[in-house]
Amino acid sequence: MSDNDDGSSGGIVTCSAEFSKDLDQFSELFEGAKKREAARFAMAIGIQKGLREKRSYWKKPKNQKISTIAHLSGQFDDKGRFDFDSLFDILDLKDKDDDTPIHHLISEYVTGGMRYIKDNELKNLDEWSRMKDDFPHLFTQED
Amino acid sequence: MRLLEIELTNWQPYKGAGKNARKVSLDGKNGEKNLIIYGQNTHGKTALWQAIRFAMFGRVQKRISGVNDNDWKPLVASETKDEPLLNVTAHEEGTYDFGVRIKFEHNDAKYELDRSYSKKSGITIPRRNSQMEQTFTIRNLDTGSYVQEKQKFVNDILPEELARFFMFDGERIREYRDLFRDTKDVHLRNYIEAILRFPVLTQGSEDFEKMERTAAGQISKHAKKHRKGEAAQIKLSETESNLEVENDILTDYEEEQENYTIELGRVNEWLKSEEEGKRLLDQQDGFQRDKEQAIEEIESIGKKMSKALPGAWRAIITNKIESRLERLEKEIERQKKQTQRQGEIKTELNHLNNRLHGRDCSACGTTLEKPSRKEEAEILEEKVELENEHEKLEKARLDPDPDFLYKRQKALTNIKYDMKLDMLISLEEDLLRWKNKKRVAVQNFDKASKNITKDQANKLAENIVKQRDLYSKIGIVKTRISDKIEVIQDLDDERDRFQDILGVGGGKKPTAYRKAEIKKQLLQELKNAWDSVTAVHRENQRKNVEETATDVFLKLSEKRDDYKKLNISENFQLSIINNKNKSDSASQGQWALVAYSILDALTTCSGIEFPMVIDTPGRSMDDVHFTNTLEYLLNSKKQVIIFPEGSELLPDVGDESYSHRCAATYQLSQNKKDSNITDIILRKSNLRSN
Repeated sequence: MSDNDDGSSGGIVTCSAEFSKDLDQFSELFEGAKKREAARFAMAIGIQKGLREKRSYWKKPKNQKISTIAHLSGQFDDKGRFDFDSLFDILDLKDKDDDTPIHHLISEYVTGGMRYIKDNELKNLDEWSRMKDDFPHLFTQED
Repeated sequence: MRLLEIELTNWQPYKGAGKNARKVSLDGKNGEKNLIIYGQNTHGKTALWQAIRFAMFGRVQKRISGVNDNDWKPLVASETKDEPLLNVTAHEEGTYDFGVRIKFEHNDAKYELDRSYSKKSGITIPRRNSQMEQTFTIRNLDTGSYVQEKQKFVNDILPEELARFFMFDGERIREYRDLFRDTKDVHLRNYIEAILRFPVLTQGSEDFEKMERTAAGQISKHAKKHRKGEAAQIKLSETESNLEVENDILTDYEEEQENYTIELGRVNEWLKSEEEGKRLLDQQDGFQRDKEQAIEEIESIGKKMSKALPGAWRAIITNKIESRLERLEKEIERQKKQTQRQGEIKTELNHLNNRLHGRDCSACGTTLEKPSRKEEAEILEEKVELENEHEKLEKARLDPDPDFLYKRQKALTNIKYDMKLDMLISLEEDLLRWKNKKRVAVQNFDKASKNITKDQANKLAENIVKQRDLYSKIGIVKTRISDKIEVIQDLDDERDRFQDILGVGGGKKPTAYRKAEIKKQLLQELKNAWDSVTAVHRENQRKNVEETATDVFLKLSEKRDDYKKLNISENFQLSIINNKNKSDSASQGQWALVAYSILDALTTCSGIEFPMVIDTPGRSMDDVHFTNTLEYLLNSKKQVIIFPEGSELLPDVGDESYSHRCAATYQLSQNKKDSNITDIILRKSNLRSN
């Protein structure tokens, strides 16, 4: 299956090679399918903050491959448990005439999210409080 | 044994007691010992003959009809035909004491044997044996003492079963003759073997065997004990060897401990001189431990955070999802209301149509009045308005597609996750604190490191490690020494135990064991020797009997020139061998002589000294042979007591021919007053005067 293969469960979910190492490092904070969990976290941040980095803009250093997160988007969505098509559609995460396949969309938001993580040093464990401003709904509001 | 006197008290036909007791004496003044008692049949010869057996064995056979008769005469009876031992007349007169007293010489001592019966106390007239009680004594006349084991004493002189060879009836000689010829007669053969003392020899062999078995048993017991000793010896050697090894190991351990202790002393001495350095090093260690603890805590916090993070992605976008979900729900609600309104419009249109055409009302069934022209125009206008509204609603309701809306609603609801990440902040605070601690620990560690040179620290660390190592090694060696001492103590105990088992002999065969072995060996040799001697003795005895019997037979037989010898086979089968070296059937008279010869030979060869007591000796013999027999018997070394019947030997003839060879001759005579009483009349006497 090619990198650009379309399909509800097909297509490789990736991340820009720029964040390969960061993603690996960030993955260590998670349990189970560490890299997938870390990528979902990054994707969620990307979605929440509207940080979509289109694949066409990814700078690819020479001899550096795109970091593979899941060989199939079906693996990434936990075999259809989570309907990312509907999610991206309802959250208006793509334009009406945007025909970007779902695995690319995910990859683009993962990359966007990874940038935020890197910039905010979330991978160091001790910077979660920074999220408090950007994601207040994740924390109990103090009166 | 030599009989000296026979005294009868109310014994069968011999009535009289005390002074009136009947006596027969055999004590010749010149050593004469033989006795001839003449008597007619039924005059009491047999009764007198039986008196000797009674004195010896305490019982008398009723009839002499065979060697195995066991029909004994009763002690008391009132009828003569019952043949009681107590004189019938005495019984009638109320005298119930009877018995026989004999005096005899045995092994150069004189004895008086008294066997008598009297009625038991409380019994008025005894009628059964059980009503009588016996008195039996043997007194040494030289010493006046009484023999204790009386019957044994008698049996040692002559066993009862052998009495038949010494005391027999001439009338039975034929039976003896037949028996000697019949080799299948087991009893007789047994008697012959008995009189020739073969059983004694066999018993001797058996005794040796028994003794040998006993010795073997003792050896077995010793061997068992000794084997235990041998095993103990082996185990003792093993134990001693183990002890040696263990002691060597213990010495090694102790040396090792000493070396470690010396080394530790040096290290401690050095460390003491480096107190400050050691303090710094301890400080450094403390900071290192702080750092390590902080790292552990940080790791632990990281793990706690990891548990909170999965699913957090859903929480991040949940607020976005919720706002969209709200919009979706409103849209769905709107569609629902529009659909409802469409239904209402349809009902209204239906009602208007019913009014236009004057049909029944769909809701209540009432027939509607047909409208006027004006009303009809209004209804039509209203209808158009409603149809337009319906069309508009239909367009709005299907945009967007309701299925699409439901699918999206479901997808968003599934992803939505209400979760707060407050814990992460709290953990982050802890993390920061521990990170700070770690930083401080690292800083302190570095600072402490600056106060002590690397070489110094290395040397200190090296010595401290050495110190710990030595303490540890000494601890281990101490444990080993302690364990080893226990092992050695156990081995010591074990050695003591084995030494106890071995005793003073130290595993060698004890004297008793060696003695038992020697004893068994000796007994084995003795038994072998005994067996070989027995076989030789048996053969010698057979030959002896054969030669003696042949000698007697040839002396007695008038046909001695026709015969060569008597032959006695290994199993005592008897035959007469004639001059042609063939077995001769011979006449009955000759066989009677053979029987005498054999009896004489057997008694001679037996070594038993006992009188030959022969009742009616001349039966089955002609006069010549009888004379020869008497000549032979009365001239032999044996004491001979004969009871010839009148026709065999007339008293006058007998006295003339043989009285000089007898202590006395007597004649039995029926009492003239009482035919149940026999009188004993002395005829010729060579008796010692009292």
